[in-house]
Amino acid sequence: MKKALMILIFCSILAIDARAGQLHAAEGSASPRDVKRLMLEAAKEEQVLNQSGLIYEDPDLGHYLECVVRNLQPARFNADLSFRVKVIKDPRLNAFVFPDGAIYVNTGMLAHIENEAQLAMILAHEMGHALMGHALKIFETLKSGAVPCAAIQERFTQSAAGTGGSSPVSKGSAVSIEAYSGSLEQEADRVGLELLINAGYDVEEGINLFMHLEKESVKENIHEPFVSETRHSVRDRMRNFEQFHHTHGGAGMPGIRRRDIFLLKTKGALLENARLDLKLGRFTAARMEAEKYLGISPGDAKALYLLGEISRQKGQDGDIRRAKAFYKKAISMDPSYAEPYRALGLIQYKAGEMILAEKSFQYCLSLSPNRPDKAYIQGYLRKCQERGAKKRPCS
Amino acid sequence: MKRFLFILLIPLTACAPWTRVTGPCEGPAHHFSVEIPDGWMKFDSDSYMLISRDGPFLQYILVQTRNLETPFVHTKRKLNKSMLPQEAAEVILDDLSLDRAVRNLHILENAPAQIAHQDGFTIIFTYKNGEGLVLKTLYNGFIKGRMFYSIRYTAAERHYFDKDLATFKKVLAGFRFLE
Repeated sequence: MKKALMILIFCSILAIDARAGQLHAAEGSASPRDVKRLMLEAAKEEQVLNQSGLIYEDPDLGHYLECVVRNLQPARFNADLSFRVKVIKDPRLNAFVFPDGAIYVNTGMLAHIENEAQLAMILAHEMGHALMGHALKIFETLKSGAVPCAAIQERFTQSAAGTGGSSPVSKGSAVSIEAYSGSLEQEADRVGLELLINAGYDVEEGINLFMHLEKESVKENIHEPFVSETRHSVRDRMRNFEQFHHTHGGAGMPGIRRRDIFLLKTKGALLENARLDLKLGRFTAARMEAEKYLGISPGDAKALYLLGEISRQKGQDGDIRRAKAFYKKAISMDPSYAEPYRALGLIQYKAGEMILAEKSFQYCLSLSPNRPDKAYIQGYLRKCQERGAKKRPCS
Repeated sequence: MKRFLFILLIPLTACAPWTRVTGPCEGPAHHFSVEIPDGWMKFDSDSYMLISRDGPFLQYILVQTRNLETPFVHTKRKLNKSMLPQEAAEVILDDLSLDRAVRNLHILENAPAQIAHQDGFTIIFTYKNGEGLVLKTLYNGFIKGRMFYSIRYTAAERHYFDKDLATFKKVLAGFRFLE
């Protein structure tokens, strides 16, 4: 049961975006044994996550995120807490932290952020959870029986089944968790704001981000953990931000924003997220992200190709024509890039334009002879040649 | 993937309607039939047929039909009858790669294939489940009319996958449409 509780905490952390915390700073009467176990479980979970193939690897971005975290961290805090940041290839709006200070931010979150001040707000909030030892507080609540065992098992079972907490939990227990989590979120907001102000960031940008995230979540009609599972409303949160900002006398003072450097450092993650949104079938989001990327790197062949793919896969009125135009532009920007040739070939093949298709597929294979879909392309080429031979007049 | 297996196992732990059958056997809604190998057990539902010898945690063959309009669990993309096999394979892989229960997904092969005289695809991939067990799947799929058919074999990569691969190939070769 104790192990189930431990696992439940991490399932809950991931599912409800309640953040774990720095254990030595935690209030309460947790035994050193509990603390040790929680840390061990955290380390295991981090290891699984880091080796899951889901981590977005970009050393330059990693270095940049570490710099932002260093700017934010308080001058004095427990040396056992080591803040570091990794990016997860996941299009949902989410970020979370482990008890030892390991922060994970989804590409989906980065894609919706506009500048360093907004990024700092997200990171500072997560750091607030860690600094205040929230994981241990949740653990103590669960141990004290505030949440019924059946609910614990139910929630645990859902996570083990891979449903990620999206299914309903029995009402009473869900309310207990939500009520507790709400106060933790407020506390993390308060601590995060302190860090944000002390580092000189523009707090207004944090408010702008919350408004933007809520709007996006509603627009896409999707479940976004950071927004919809935050246990108090965005409006309350913004009010807290403003009050705190006034209390500290920072209102109206210009703070650090750093838009250009942020966009430059995160553009790779932005394009990766556009690809993920395309996989998800969120065509509008994918298009907006690819266009945003092109705003940072005009004429980039990969982004142009992606815009073509978005149109081709959407496949509604005029989309195929638009897709062809994007592929041709991508080829003109980088004639050695094989993907647009393959995509053009597919469109031409399906339209029965066998001579054009054959040419496109041949270009594709000549540029990328060992590509993973080689067998498909060789098959298309065979059929193009067969049909071409049938059409040739007898001599 | 793991969720699917979990759903499959719920009836197993209760009073599972597993039956030991050998020889030709009709699938749900009488769309198809397959030859059940000696010693394997069969489990039927409204939309799939599952067979296993040692239990689905170790190996299973799953034959499934789905209407093209049926939404996927993870992607909003849909299959349609004008899709080439490669395009259908992309949708299947997109849905799979978005499944949070599937970790360390590696696509080993993705190629065109003829399945029951239909143009389709075959994908071979490995992944880790939540317990860290590496599973290997051979997934065959094709579109026929308004339906998508998938015939897949999943087993623990170590020891089990190779052991029953030949059996799976016989099941695949014995797949027949009933209409």
